[in-house]
Amino acid sequence: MLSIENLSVTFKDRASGEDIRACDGISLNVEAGELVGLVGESGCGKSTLGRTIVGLERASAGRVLINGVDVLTLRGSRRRQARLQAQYIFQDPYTALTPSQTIGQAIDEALQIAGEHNARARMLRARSLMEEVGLPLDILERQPRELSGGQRQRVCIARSLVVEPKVLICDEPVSSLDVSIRAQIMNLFLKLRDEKGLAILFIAHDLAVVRQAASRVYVMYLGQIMEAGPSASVYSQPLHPYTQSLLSAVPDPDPRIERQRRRILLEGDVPSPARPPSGCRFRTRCPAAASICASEPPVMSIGEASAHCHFAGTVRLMPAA
Amino acid sequence: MSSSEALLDVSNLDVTLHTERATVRASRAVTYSVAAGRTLAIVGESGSGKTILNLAPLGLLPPGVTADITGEVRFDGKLVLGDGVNQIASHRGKDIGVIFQDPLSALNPARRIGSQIMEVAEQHLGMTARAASAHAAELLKMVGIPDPVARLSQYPHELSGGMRQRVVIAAAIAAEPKLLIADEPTTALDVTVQAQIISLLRQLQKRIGMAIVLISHDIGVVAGMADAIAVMYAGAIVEIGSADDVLVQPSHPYTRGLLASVPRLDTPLGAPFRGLPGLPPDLSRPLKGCAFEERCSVALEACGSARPPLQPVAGTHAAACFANVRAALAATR
Amino acid sequence: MSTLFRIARRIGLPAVFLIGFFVFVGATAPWIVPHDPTSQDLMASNESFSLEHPLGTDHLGRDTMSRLIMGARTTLVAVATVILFAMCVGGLIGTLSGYVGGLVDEALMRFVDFGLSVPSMIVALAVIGVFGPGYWNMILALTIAWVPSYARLSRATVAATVHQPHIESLWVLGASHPRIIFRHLAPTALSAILVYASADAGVLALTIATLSFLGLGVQPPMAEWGQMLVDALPYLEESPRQVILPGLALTIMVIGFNLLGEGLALYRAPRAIGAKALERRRQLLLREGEI
Repeated sequence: MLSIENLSVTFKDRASGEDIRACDGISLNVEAGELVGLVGESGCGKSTLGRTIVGLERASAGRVLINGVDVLTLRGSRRRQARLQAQYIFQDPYTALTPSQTIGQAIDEALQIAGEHNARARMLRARSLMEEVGLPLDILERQPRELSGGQRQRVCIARSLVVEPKVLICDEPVSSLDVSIRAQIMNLFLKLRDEKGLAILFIAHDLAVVRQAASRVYVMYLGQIMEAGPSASVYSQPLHPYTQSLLSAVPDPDPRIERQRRRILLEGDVPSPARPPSGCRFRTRCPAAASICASEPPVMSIGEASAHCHFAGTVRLMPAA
Repeated sequence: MSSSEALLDVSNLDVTLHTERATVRASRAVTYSVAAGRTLAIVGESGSGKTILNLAPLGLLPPGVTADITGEVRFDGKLVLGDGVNQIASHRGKDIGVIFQDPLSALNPARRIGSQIMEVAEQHLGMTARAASAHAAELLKMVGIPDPVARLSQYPHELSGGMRQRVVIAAAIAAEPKLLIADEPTTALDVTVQAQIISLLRQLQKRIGMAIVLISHDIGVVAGMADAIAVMYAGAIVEIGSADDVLVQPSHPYTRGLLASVPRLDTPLGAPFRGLPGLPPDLSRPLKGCAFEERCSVALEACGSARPPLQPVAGTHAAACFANVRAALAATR
Repeated sequence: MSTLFRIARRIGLPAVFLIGFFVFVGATAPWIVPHDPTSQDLMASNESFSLEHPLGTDHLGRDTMSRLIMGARTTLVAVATVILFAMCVGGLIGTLSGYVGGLVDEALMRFVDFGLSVPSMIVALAVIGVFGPGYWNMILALTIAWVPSYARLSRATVAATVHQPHIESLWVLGASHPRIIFRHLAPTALSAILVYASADAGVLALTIATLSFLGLGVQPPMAEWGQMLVDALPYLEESPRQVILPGLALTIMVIGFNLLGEGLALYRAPRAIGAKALERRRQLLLREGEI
């Protein structure tokens, strides 16, 4: 349903004038009725990728196919129609709603934009959308600031459903919500996936949430995909040293386990995307880096689970004491 | 955790916040203590009062908020709050260090990081500028910043998020405080950096022997750092005890629900997410019974009309729940 | 009524009363003036306070009170017209610049920078130099001089808003550019300008008086405070009140606008609860007696 081929996004850094490659040759795909995770640390380019899919950033190369149509080559109203098939859920549901509009007005405006001219039809549709996302009807009369974070996120989801999208890009949709509330929103995504057959690209830094929800997962580092595969194999047998270190950093709520835990602590900081390291992007922080890693960029291994590493599957980083 | 050896001893702390619009009972009858070299984590979700409880007595309030604070706080054996005195704020920066959630807004963007750390050392340790500069470099080294002398002359925006939080920690411990209040110190950071910061705080604690009050909503972070845990809900402590007691054998239904909502790396793949139904109560309205009653799956009739007090479960482990008391009675019969 | 009063109290009663007073006087001026402000009576020139002329007369025997009242109207009409037009033009330029970005933004903002680097007074003088002095020419000149700062302000507001999720989400939903600009960005920019303009109106009133004082703005016999000052200067020693009264009116108006601007700027800022209300809240909590 959603297929991205060799996508690159380049920004010009205002201060230094350097080109920053936020995304560099990314390929991924999400099928209808599938929730796919995209994980990575802040600044790795995962949000830029999601924003480019819905047209909030401009791609410098590559293709974005939604339902088989390359959105980037279309122009005018056909592009708009194609683009609407993919909707975006923002991290902070408070700033995603216009503060001066009531919820009803926000949904009504979305319906107007979608071309529904009949006010009564809009009202009926707004009500059925509220029901769909599990909100009481009186929410329509309220202002965003009167709602809890979870309620606001439901409103944002309802509004994105106005155009009956096929693809949903969710950018950290639960990370600003309270832990006990997250489940309600996550289960709503799972319901939409199953009942509407939505293709959901779920962008997050919380590996445990992604693992539970996603059938497949992509791991990003410094603008490139490091590892991709079914959640079951990526989480149990990570091929890439970066995935291994990420997983070893996930804390566990059991203090007895935490006391026994040894972590792979990475040295240093993520390099600047304006001047990525030669060869493998991860080599400057990789404990297993060899000389080939600096001289030659690794190719993505092909298989059900694949990794962007010269030593994919053969390295197993040992946690430090 | 007897109060005689405690560095910080808080009893019956009530914080009421007044703004133009509303009056909020942010905390009620909160009692806890921390000993030197130990870490107490105060766990709760947004609006539970965990942050305001610690920052209001230090005089750290958002603009336009008036706080009424009652109760007693003893610090290092001295009464610093209660009985008409409030001297806690005078310890801030010296005996009490504070780390805030957002490392960028905690630093002055227009000043070099060296001078921001030196300032603390000069003011509280009475150091000369030269000594303070050496001290600042040493602190940066201690918090794991490479090339510390060169970093002194850099500005906050030149550092990554993780490095900035290390600078904030360096400034907070510059005067070698006896107590460190860390308010969500890792929330703005990535998991890999988070792991580094937690292990850094643990090392520093060992070296300086300071007590830490860790305020967090992240159970994973808490599990890795805390000796003792207080779980807050709607302004009150609903469960308190050692980290193992609270996280391994949670007694209060809220703690149990909260723990069940944390996704783990060993949850079955594709399982539905578990959380709590409903929303926390509005603290600007009076509460009759247990604040958790509406969302509780084991609520009894009594829960709607009276607020359950903290009752010991075993040893230092205590929980505020009527259902527990009844279950315990049934077991002894 | 009580909501109106609450809004007024939040802005600040002195500001609301001062500006409200001037607006009322200015709006009703032609009907409340005791005398025709332009009719001369050389027999009664430079008269002091009397029942007939409560604030006396000027050197041509014109009623000072009537001229002060008409002067308020002259100034306020000019201030309102300049702000209205400068706000529309500057707001539009700034909104477009901030929304489109890129080269358009660069070009427009360099133009605006040029306008801002020259003092408004100089710009106004240059425009008057081309079109000649006069009331409406002065208004045109001031509008041109005032546009750059409003453009700059609205550009900054829009540039800060345009990448906020609530605007981006409209774009993702397929909203058209005109809808985003006119229904969402422009109102935000206008409200920012309005707050700035209300404080800035004092400066504008002073500039109008200065231009008229220099003979470049309002022409006789139209009543205007700067004009009144010029007329009164030769008689400073024998009747200083003719200088003091228009000067005082101008000062009070400027103070009023400054207070209004400050009140509007802080309108939404959180404020501490008042002592009386605080006591009431505490009593209420005690009475509820919960715990």
